[in-house]
Amino acid sequence: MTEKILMCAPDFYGIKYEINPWMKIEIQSDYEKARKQWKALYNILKNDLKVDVQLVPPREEVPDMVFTANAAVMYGNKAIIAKFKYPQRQPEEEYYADWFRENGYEVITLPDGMAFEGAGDALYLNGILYSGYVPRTDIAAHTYISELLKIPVISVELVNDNFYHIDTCFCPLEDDYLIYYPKAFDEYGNKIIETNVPEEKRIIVNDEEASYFTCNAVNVGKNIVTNITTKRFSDLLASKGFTHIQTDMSEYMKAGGASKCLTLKI
Amino acid sequence: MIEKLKLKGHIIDSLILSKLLDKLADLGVDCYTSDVKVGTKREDVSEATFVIETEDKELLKEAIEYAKKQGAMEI
Repeated sequence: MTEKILMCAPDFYGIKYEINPWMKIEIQSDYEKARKQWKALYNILKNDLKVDVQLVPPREEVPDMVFTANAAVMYGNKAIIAKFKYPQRQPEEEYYADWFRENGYEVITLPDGMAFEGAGDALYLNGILYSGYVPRTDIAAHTYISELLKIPVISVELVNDNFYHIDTCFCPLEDDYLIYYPKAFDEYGNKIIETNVPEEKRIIVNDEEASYFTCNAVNVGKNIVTNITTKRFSDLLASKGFTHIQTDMSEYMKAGGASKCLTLKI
Repeated sequence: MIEKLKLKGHIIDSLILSKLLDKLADLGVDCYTSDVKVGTKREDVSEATFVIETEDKELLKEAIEYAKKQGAMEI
């Protein structure tokens, strides 16, 4: 079955505010370079990996709308729309909800005051929704979603400010493999991962690789698309039967995002 | 001083209950669970009611703040 991914062109992308440790207004993104990097990722997904890429229209007042991973978490035809923690991103919620409604999805919204940042903080692995909490998502949202969808939701606390969404440090792959960065989790989170994911399925990134947002990967079948990273990581993926595709995401790293943040599987 | 709180969610699989009890013990407050309902199916949530007790007002405040970060609600 063809994978379907939602993206948003970076027409209005830029570092307009600071809501994570990576964002510095004085370190602005380069407009043309950012467009080229986004287009390269789009072409890899659409042309090389034959993904059905859908586009939500960009809006001028929300520069981070390019990071569609945060739009929602999907469950079949249901889109559970984000409730952004920071007011700067909250206008995105309605734009995403409109797009999902117009495209035939059932839109579900969480109660007011319950922060939840979509698939940036909620990723499926082996039938369980692993969800990050504290920096951007309230743990109460995990319980709400579990009861709403009747699915198991495992909560893992994110303890490293640089890895403020779970998709920056935890990436489930095909065949229940997992790329992750242990230092982004506390001892309880690591114990959960070690208990639930067999050792041979765990692909651990080191400090250098984590700093390139290597965990922020797009998985299409046996293909893994990441920012430029190390040969060690490529070799590790190859040893597990995956093909590694690297594409420069440096302009998006300035906002604390990389390839996965620019995509949402729908 | 006593505070009664409730945790609800996948608090067993997520080790939230363990983490909370460990942290409260480290803080030095007395804590005991009064009621635990464990979900029977994989997707079921569990619930735990617990009481925090200390004579130190600041410590109680810190303990409650931590418990709330882990999803506890005052009851």
